Amino acid sequence: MNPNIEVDPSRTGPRTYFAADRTDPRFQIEACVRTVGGENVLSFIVVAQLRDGTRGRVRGSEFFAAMMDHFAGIGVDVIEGQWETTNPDWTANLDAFNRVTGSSNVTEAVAATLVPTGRYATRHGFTNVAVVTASPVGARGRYTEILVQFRR
Amino acid sequence: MLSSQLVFELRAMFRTGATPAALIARIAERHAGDPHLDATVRAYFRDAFHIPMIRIGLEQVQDIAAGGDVPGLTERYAPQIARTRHEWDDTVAAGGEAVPDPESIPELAASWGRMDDEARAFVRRLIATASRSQASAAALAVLLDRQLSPTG
Repeated sequence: MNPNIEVDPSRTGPRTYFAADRTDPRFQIEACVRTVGGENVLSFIVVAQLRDGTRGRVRGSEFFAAMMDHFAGIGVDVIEGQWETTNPDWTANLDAFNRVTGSSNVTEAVAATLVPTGRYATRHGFTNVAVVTASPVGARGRYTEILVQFRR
Repeated sequence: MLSSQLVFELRAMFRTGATPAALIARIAERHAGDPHLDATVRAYFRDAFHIPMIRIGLEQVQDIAAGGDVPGLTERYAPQIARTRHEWDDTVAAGGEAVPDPESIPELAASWGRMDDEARAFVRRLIATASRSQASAAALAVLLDRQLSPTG
């Protein structure tokens, strides 16, 4: 594990995980697991790059791996991605999804595997992809909200 | 540490027409000085409304606390809170957003078996997205109605 990942024990528990780059806490990950219909569903926010391109000393994939290690005990069945425009600083996945769908003919499910979260999830064996909703309907390259689920 | 009293208060506020921004402003008021206020907001939204990861950053929370707003926040999150209401509000029965099974739609039944998996996934996604949009419009209408109501 990257030694710069510092877990916040006051906000981390069996179903929650908070960690930051100890050299620059602007770079961080926050995650939670909830149980829906018998499945443990993981949601998370990771900030590994700022809007101006500045990167910290912890890569997004390293934050992701540390998070998955933390939740190994309870087991994650679904990695959920909710990619939207609410926070302009957190649109890396949506931007990448729109770049792919706006410039190629790949399916939305394939496009979801080509964005940062999709790459991390598939590397961890979550290769079964379901794009649950994509708004506005049919707006390839201009989506504002995507809900995607990755399963093993 | 979350306040169960504030959770109760937030739920009551939503029932009477408070927007997500108003809920966030109340949390910010109660937790003034919290260096991780955005994470605290997310924790309250998880506990009070079963919203796993509201995607709002610290600067946005501070803007809201100062009387500002975040574009799209109500449009995106009020329907999500309404959608989970049967989980956190004993006075509301489950139901509402039932997504029809495409196979049960007469116009699709004959051709469903001839579609490949990608086409079926796309039709399911279109129906789910349309259903969610319709439910969101209904939830926003209810919110507006509560705000315009003399007792709301």
